[in-house]
Amino acid sequence: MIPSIAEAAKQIAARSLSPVELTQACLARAETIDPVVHAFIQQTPDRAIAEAKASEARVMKGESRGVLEGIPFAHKDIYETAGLATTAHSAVLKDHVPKADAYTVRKLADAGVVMLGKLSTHEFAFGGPSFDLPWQPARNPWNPDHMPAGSSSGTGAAVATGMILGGTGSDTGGSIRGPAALCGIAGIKPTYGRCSRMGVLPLAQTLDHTGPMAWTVEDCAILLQAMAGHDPADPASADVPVPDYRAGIGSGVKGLRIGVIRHFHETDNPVSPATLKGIDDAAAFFRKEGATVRDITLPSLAEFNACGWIILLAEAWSVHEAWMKRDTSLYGELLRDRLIMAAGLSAADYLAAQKKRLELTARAAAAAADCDILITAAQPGEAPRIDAVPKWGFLEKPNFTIPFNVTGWPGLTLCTGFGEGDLPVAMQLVAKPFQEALLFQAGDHYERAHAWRARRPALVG
Amino acid sequence: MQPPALSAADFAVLMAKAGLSPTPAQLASVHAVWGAMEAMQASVRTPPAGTAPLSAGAAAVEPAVTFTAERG
Repeated sequence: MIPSIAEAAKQIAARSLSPVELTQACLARAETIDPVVHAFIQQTPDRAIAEAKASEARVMKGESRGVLEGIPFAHKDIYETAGLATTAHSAVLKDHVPKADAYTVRKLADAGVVMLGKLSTHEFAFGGPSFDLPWQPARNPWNPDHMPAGSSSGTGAAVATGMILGGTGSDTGGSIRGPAALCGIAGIKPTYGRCSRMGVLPLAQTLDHTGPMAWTVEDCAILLQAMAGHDPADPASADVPVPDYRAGIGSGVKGLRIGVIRHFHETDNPVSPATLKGIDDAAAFFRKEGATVRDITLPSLAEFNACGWIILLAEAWSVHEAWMKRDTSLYGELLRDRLIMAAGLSAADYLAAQKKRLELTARAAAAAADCDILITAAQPGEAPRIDAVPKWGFLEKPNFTIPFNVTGWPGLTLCTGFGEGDLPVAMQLVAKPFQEALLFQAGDHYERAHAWRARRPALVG
Repeated sequence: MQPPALSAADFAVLMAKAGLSPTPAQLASVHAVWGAMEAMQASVRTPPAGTAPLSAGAAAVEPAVTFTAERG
C-alpha cells in the first residue's frame, strides 16, 4: 500500500512510519520500475537516505518541519538543484551543474521533503517524446507502450508508480495538467505568478508556471502550500497572501456555480467517449451535491491555441536563439524543428498575439463572470502509443490546457476513471485567479466520492 | 492542415533572415506545416465578431494594444 502524502504525514507525525523506511520503499520501487518507465534522469539514493535519516532525527526530537517532513519527492529536471546536474533532458545542458537551488526547490527542502533525484521532461519542456536525446523519454506507467504526455512526464510516471509521493512540474501549455491526466494522478497549474519560476529553466516567460503533481488533490494542496509565495527575484511573482489551501476541503460543493465549457470538448476538439463520460458524470455529481451547473461559452479553442502557441514559440525562440545559431546539432529533432518554426515568426506576430491575449482574457472573464469553477477536458482521450505521436500534433488539433496559460487562471487535473486499454482519463477544473482553494475543495470532494484512487498501475505489483 | 501560402524559397529566405541555415530536409519538414502557423498568424489578427475592441478605459491598456489601423 503506497500512502498519499496526507496519510504518510499523519503516520510520520505519530511515529508509526519511519521516513527512512518510507524512502527505502520508494527507492526499491524505483529500482524495479524505473528501468521500464524511465521517469528519472538521475537518482540520488545516497542523498535521499541521508536526508531521510536527518528527517527522522528531527521527528524523534520533536522538531518536525511539518506535513512534508520526510516525504519522498523529486524535481522535474528543469528545476535547478545546487551541485546536482540540471539538464532539461537535453545534450545542450548535459553538464550543467547549478550553483544554487531554484526558489521552490529550496522552499520544499526547507519544508522537509526528501529528494530522490531529477525527473525526465520533454527537451527544454517542449520537444518530446524524443528518442534522439541522451536519455530515454518517460513512458506511461499504466502501459509503457504508451506516452505519459509531457512535458512533466517523469513526474507523472514516478508519482503514479509510487517511486515518489509528490514532485514538481512546470506548465507553459499544459505540461503539468497533460501528464497528470494521462498518468492518472492529480496536478495543478496555479495562477500565473503564484509560484516563483526563479531557478527554473524557462520555456516561454509569460506563459511559464511552476506547480506540484501528486497522487491526490489534497496532496497537491499540501504541496502548493509549500511552493506558493512571493519571490521578488521573479518579476512575475505576485505579492498576494497565500491562503490555507486545505481550509475548504471537506466542505462540499453546495452553492458553487460551475460552468461546463462543453464546446471545448464536444465541438472544438471532440474527446474520447470515456473522457466525455467522466466530465458528464462529474458535472452530474456536482449538481447532485448542490452546485449549480450550466454550460458556458468561451472563445474557441482554436483562438486560444493560435494566441498561446505564437507567444510560446516566439518566447522560446528568444531563449534558444543564440544556441540555435551556434549549433543546432545538440538538439533533438523535435525541439530543433519547432525552434526553426519559431524563428519564422515576426515581432508583429508576437505583439498581435499579446494583444489578442488581452482580448481573449477579457472575453473569458465576461463569459465566466457568474461561475466559480469551469469544467472541461485536460486531454482529448486516453494516452496514445508513444511510437505514434505525431511530430506536429500541436498544430493539428487544439489542446485544452493552453487557454489557461493564456489567461493565467489556475487549472487542476484529476482522474475520472479508465477508458480504452484500461488507461486513465481525466477532467480539468479551472477557477479565477488565486482561487486555487476552490479547485481543491471541489476536486477533493469529487475524488473522495469515487474509487479511482484505489487503483495503481500493474507495474507497482 | 492547410498548405503554406509562403513558397519554399521564400521560407528559406525567412530562415536566413533569422540567422539559421537548416538543411534542405529540415527546411522541407518545417515548411510543410507552415500553413498551420499562417492560420495562427491570421487568427491573432482577426478581431472578434460582434465585439467592440478593447476601449481606452480597459485595464492594462496601452497604445500598442488598443490601436488599430482600421479605426484611423
